[in-house]
Amino acid sequence: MATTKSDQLHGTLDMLVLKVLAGGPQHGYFIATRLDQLSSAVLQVEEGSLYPALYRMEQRGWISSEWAVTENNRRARFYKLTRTGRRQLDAETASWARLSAAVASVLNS
Amino acid sequence: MRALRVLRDRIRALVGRDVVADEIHEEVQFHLESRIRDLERHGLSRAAARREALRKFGNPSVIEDRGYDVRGGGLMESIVQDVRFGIRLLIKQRGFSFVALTTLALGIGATTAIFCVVDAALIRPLPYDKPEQLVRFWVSERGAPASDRFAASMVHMDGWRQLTDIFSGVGTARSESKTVLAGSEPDRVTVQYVTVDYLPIYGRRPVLGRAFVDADEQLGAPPVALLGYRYWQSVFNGDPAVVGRSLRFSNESATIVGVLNDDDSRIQAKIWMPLQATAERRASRQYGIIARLRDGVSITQAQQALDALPGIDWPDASDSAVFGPVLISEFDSARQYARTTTNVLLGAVAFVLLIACVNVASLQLARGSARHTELAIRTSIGAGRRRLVRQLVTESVLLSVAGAVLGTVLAWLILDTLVANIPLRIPADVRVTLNLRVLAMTGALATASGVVFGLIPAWRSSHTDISSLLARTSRGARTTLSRAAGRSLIAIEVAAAVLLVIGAALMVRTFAHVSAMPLGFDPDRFETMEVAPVNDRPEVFGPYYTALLERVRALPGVVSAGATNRLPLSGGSSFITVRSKSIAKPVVIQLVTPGYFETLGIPLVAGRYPEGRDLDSPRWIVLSQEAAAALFPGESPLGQPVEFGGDWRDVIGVVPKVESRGIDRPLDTAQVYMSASARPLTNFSSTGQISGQALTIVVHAKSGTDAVAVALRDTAKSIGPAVIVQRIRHGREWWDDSVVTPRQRTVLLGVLGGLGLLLAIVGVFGVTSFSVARRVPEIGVRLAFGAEPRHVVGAVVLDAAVPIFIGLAAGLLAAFFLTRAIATFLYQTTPRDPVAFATAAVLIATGGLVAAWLPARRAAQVDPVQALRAD
Repeated sequence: MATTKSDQLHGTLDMLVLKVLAGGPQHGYFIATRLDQLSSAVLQVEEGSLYPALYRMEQRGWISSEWAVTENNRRARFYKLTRTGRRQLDAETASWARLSAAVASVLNS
Repeated sequence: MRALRVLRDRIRALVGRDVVADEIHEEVQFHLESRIRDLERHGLSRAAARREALRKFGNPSVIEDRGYDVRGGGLMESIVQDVRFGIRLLIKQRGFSFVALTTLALGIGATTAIFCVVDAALIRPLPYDKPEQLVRFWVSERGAPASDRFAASMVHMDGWRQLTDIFSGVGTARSESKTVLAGSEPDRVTVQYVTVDYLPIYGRRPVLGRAFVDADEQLGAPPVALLGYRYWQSVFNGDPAVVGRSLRFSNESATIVGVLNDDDSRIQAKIWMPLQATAERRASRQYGIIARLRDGVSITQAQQALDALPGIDWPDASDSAVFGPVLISEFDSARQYARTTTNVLLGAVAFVLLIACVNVASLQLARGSARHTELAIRTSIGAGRRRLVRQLVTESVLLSVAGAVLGTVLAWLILDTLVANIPLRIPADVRVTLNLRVLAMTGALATASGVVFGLIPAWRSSHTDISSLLARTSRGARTTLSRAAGRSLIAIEVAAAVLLVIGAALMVRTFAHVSAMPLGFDPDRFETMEVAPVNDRPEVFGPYYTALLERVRALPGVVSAGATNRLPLSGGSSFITVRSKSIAKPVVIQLVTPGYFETLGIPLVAGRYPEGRDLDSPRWIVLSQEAAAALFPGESPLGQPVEFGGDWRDVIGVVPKVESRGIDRPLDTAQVYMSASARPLTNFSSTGQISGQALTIVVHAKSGTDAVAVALRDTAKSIGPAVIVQRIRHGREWWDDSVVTPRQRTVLLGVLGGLGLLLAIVGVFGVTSFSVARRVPEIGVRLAFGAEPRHVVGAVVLDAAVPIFIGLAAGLLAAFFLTRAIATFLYQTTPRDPVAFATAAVLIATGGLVAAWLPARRAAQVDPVQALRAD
């Protein structure tokens, strides 16, 4: 029923978000700018899509959130990686490595 | 953990939508403002920065909504929304809602009500503690396959009473009608004479005073009595001081020794007394002997123990035959009796429910098709497929729950009527009511049907390609699918209806046969009067009935009159063994006076009727043809002696068989009529009059029933002694009362059959109407090209006729195998009665075709121009 294309997209986005959060708790805007820098032109996603994705990951227990104050003294919602989330990131990184190695070997052969 | 988080968010979303929404809004705003500030720092103008931030972000309100959905606001809100939308839709589509709700309410209501009754009847078939321990003693010839079962005597019972390691009690009872002088007026009540064990076997014990003891049973012991609880409450106002007082009857008095615990429906009596039997009476084989097995003893073990004992003393047995006791489980008999009825009722009501559900399914299908465009548009503007399915299921469950509520109300309304008219024995202390078990079943039924019927259109919508639907070019493919579904639904409900209607037709045929059954007498020509003097001493009864008959015969318009101890069709009967010179035969015995046969219109086959001069003679006997053939094979019985109880009586006449026990259990046993002048089992009364037993007077009169009744009552009271006139009934009323069970079965299965037929017709009508509505453009084209309207009608009817006849064939085939289930309800009707099958087939075919023809006729009136323009 649900299209696999958007599933892949979700999966990739999730993995990148987890990767960003592995560096420490961050708010949505910071995550968005980091994603922008990391993927530069490759990922053409509306920044807004990040928020439903964050909420989904929070419900899955990968991240947790709380309201805190930024260095500019603004109230923002900070997300941080949970233990489940770290395991998820490890698993996804591993499987991504396997997949890209496989793809690379196919392309190089 | 996750579940908790989700739950927390959902609850927050529901109770405080604003909190979650505000949080999301704030977060989005923070994001946008941070982006704008950064962009401004890179030198953009405020306006340009804003435009760029929004371009990168996407539509904030859409994002907020999606976020809101994810955070759980979505589900709850959309359910509330779906329910609201569903209710609005049900109100808007009044026709659909009315038909669907009525159908569901009828189906669920009937099921619930029947289930209540079955619940009560099956769960407690016998209202006693450990009812599986109750067994009844019979006697049969050992090793003889399918030999007759006979009643035993108290002498036999005394032997079985010794087997205390098998039975915790063995007992018997005998009832008698007595006049008691306790209340404000003399009253005739049933007194049960019981052995010491009898009441404990049924778990009856005194709540006041003492139970019977062995000494009470001895002949000549001072008479004692126990009062039934209700009788004690109503006549003695529950006064505990009655214990020790004397209870006066017309001919004796007894000391009240206690009050029994609550009466139940099976063994009912107002007064209980110990059974003190003379040696002669103990030896007579006419007792229903009941026993309770000890804890841990199975009926099989008990039977094995009994079989290991030597055969019992059995006077009529030929030298080689050995007789022994046979145990029959009372519980199984009671359950068996209830089981057939409850199975048939549950089966029938399940079919009604099936038809109701199929109806709703087909209505949903039709509605689903009509809403196709709506659903397609909603999908195209972004509604998820799951979301649509959820909405359809919500609507459907809403409908089912409403149907279940209406059905429960309906069941509650009809329950009392049903209980009063159901051919089942329901213990008096079991209140038939809508209990939790039944309500849970109704609820489960409603939810399940709601989900299933919601999924049907949802499944269909998920198989639809949106663009083609919107372009309305895929009509061909779509109609094939729904036509196949519609057709199979028609076939299913027609088949179920066929079964129901055949069941009803079989019962109607049975009742017709029962009504036309040769009774052996004419119920339309006589009145009956049950009357007895208050003082029930034999020396009062004899002269009273003699005088009464004399006066009744002298009444104007009276053609004939007589009396008997037991009218035909009155249920129970006493078997007594009589013998001719060489042959012994158990027969059903009845006491009659001269005039009895003429009054009931029982014809004479040979010999003569007893006449006036025979009134005080005990020496004559009349045989039924079966008795004559059995006792005197190949010779004329007239003038021959028949022995009974050591006395010989001469056969004066032979009459045909009379249905004696009751219509639902016809009896093929030989019948013997003895002079009411002599009492069986005791010595002849030598008073030269009718002997002292309560009799029913029968009168054949030319005048109207009411006038006769008044005259009879007056005459009965004018003789002299104070009397109690219990009932005056016309012979036909008497007959009506005896056919209550077959009539109740007929009415009940008739109603269910009619309901099934009606619902099936509604279903066929619905599906055909829907198909006609869908085919309007096609029909328009046909008409525009010059098709005859009657051909159009024909095509539509034919379209529906195919599944109708498939369903009909399937139903007939299923009935061929299933109707055996009600074989025991049938009288002179086979379960595969061709007339019943044919009647049902014609009814269903006609009903179905008419239901298809009505919408078809509308199709022919389609205006081609409008039909084409509509597309």
